Amino acid sequence: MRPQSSGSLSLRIPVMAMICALLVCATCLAQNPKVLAPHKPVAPRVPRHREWDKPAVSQAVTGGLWRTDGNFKSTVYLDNMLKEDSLTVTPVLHLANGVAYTLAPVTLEPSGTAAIDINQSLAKQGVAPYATLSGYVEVQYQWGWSAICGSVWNVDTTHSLIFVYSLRPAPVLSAPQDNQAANGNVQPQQTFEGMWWKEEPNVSGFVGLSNLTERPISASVQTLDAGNQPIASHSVTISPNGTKIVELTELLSTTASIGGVVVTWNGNLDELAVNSSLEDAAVGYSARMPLGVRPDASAKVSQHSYAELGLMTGPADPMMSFPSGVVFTPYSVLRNLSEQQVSVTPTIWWMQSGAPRSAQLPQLTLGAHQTTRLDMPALLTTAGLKNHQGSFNIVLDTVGPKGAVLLDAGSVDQSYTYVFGVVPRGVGESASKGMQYWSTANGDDTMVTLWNPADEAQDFVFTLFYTGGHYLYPIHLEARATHTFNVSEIIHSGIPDSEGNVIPAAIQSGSAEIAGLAGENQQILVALDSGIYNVRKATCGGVVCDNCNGFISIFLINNPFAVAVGRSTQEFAMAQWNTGTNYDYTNQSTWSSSNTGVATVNAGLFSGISPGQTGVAFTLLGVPPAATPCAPAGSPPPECPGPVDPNGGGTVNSTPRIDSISPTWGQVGKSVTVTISGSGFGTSPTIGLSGSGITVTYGSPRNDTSIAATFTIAPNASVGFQDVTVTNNTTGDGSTPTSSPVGFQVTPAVATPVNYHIVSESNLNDGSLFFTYTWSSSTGSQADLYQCTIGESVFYPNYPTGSYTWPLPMVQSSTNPTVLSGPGTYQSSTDTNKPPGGYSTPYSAKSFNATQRWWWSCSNYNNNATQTLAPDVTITRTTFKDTDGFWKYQITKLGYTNTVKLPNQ
Amino acid sequence: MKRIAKFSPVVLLMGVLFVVSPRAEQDNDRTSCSLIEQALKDYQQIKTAGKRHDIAKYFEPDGGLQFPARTRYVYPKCDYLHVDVEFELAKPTEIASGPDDRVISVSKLYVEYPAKD
Repeated sequence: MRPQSSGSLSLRIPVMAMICALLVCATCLAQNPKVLAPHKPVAPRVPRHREWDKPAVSQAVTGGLWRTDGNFKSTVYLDNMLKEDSLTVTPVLHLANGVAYTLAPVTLEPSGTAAIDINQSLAKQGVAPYATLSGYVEVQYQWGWSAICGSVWNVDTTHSLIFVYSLRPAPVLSAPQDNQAANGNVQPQQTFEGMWWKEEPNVSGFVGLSNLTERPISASVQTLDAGNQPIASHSVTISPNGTKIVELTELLSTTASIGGVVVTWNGNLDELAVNSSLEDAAVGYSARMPLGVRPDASAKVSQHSYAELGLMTGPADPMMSFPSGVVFTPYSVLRNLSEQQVSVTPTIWWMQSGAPRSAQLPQLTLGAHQTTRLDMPALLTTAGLKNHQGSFNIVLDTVGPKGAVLLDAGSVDQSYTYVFGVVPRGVGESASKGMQYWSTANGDDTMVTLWNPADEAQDFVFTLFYTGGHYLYPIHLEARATHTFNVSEIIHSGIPDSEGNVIPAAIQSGSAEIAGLAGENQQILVALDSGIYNVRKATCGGVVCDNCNGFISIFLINNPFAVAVGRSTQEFAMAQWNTGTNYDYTNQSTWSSSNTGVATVNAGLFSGISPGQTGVAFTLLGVPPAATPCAPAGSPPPECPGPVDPNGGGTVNSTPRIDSISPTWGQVGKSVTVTISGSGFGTSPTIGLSGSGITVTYGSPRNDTSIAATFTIAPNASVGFQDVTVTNNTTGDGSTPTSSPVGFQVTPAVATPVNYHIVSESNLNDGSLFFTYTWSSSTGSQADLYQCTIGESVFYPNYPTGSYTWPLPMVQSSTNPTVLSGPGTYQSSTDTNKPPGGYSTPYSAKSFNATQRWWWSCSNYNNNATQTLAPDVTITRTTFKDTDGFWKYQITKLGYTNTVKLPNQ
Repeated sequence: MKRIAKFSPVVLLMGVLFVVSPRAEQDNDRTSCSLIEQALKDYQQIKTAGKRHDIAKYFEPDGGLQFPARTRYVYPKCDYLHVDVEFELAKPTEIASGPDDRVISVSKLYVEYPAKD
């Protein structure tokens, strides 16, 4: 079929001239600049800290058109993008008349998927599942960011029809906007522009309009012919939360075979969900009818590349089990949504004898709002692929306003029953990309096509997520190579992955992800397309949204934070990703301090110069934002956004610093002269105490580095620790920074252990932290502690449980609490915080905390009751996959950390 | 020293037969009884008047809080098996233990979760 466009001059160039113009692979590669794969440093992953999460708020995805009748079955497929958190969602079915049915909540496990049968859900509401109904889906949940994506699959197996529509984040509806509409004020006009084409004369189409607001919306749908002359116009008013389906029956009678469609309404862009398709139920033909937003008139002209992967030509691949005689013909349709010309240069890529081959075709020009259809047979002939059987890719390099080109492509058989749609996608650098859903159930299979746009080889890992586990499928793609596989091949292989995982035979669905070997945040350059096809039902649905993994927030771990004068403290610039994972971008950020007289900074290491307060600015370099670009709605085609440089800020307080306090204890009913040494105290510092019963009398010196004071301890003062701080009252900038606290121990009148402190720490090779402690007697004689005991109690999670079983893969149980002690007359002890006794596979990321409490008791004081010997500390144990790809065990306590690699890797 | 529970070797044997953990399965392919028998034999090698470095041939220090003059040990092949040993320190003025510390008393072998802190 020849394109009916009159503006596409290049397609009329005689074949021989095109052959002359054709540049075949080796030549074009030699002439074009090399496209390199991203080689960017990968920020290290840090263990999950839920306390860093943004506060949960109401979230929703909405808009997917559903329709039921005696033949159509509709299913909502949902994907939880969080990798370590389950999520409970509440689906709501909005009927065309605005009536809403709230369905039972559904819990999705981490990276989990759920399928909700709309027909059966309606039946549970007392509505016949075969009733002719339509509407849209809304999925509500609580989370700190958008973490659910999904789509609605409408399948009529009787007529071999399939229509897939994506869910997108719900619009933010504010009362003023609604009031504005109620008051009759003019709402902004919005326009979606799309295209239609007819594979055969009986193709028609429809446009579903769902009103996501609480006010009526009036909309118009206009169909245009190839010359952009109106064919028909439809005006509808959609009731609040209602849906109307506009049938484009005029396409049946028009002599045109290609054209445009324009949808306009007044309101905000995201308030009307527009879902459209082409169909001919008589032959089982169904295809997308893409729509997009017209680019802004000020959009800059720039270059963009789009890939249409896995187009098929010739007899169907025997591996796909199509009936014999099925022959595919590829199609590729384009429309220019802008007012400016757009040039398009197609290049065909295919694999031959395991090596990539390419042929660059002559450039064509798309006029303003012009739709054209590539003459694929002619182009294949031009490329020397007239008799090619199998799959190939088309890459379209365009020059025009960003978002100007609307694309659709696929392959259709000679009976128009098998339509293997391809979602054109932008080619660009990204981090990992999620695939919402795959299925091998009930005759389904999922075909995945990957193309390496770089002129150098890349390695990836394709992870299949499913209920109860995941499977890692390594993929090596040579420069410009294409790799196509069916998910069923991986499942049926039974080959254990690098972690020993085998997909259970019962698994038939899940989600997936393509990532670099270094993790989900590694920048990669890869194009991916997938389709779930069912030969028996003669249906094929493309995954219409990409999950572009990326950051959803950046932050400092501590804000505000403090650094002592003369000391340094490391602050960390973190990015939280849509998957819930946190990454440390400290070393991939720029840092600055707004007052270097107070504090300076180098790579996140802050040094206190003088007491006061200063602002902190940091910029993360090259981090992709999370996005879920979808087709057909929204700016076409979907493309993961490129990396950006997000920036943030904070506050640092440079504080006085206490180096020592001597003595560290005093007895009730007595006075003790205390000397506090440090820096940044200023000229008139004050001492703070966290408890009562101690009166401070200042002596001399009382200056920037030293304070002498008498602590008068009341007879009834509480025995135990009080925090001592020093506040600088003379910074000059109005701030009164206070030092970090040090402990001062109030002891009873009898001999008790005092001055318990760490003497040394070392990391052992097995992953242990090894501490040595000493203490002394308040009387000065260790022997006086003969009635005293020194001990520790370690409290594990779920205390008191008798015993605590550590989370796998850490294989260990501990008495909860673990209580150990010895005579106070000893002068020292050691404390070894050991790793678990073993590790189980497959390894996974886990973490838990234990609280360690030191205590003393003396039989001659307070009935031998336990007293605090030192402040409680937290022991954190974690297993995690490090950026070097190895699983590791890590323990942290009191700022000390030991990390070791888990065995058998 | 506070201790939650101690058992005689007979009770210990019964206890170990009921305590089957993943770690025990990993580290010990033999039957529990033969391991206990070996532990008893190794335990009997610890003699009063022996040295700390002699014990290290058969047992290793448990985790958690420990004192130079009183040390808990676990059996490396099954760290649920413990023995407590008291020492006379060769260098009592130093805060660390030494290999030449002399054994002055040995507890019975007993069963308890290893201390990991």
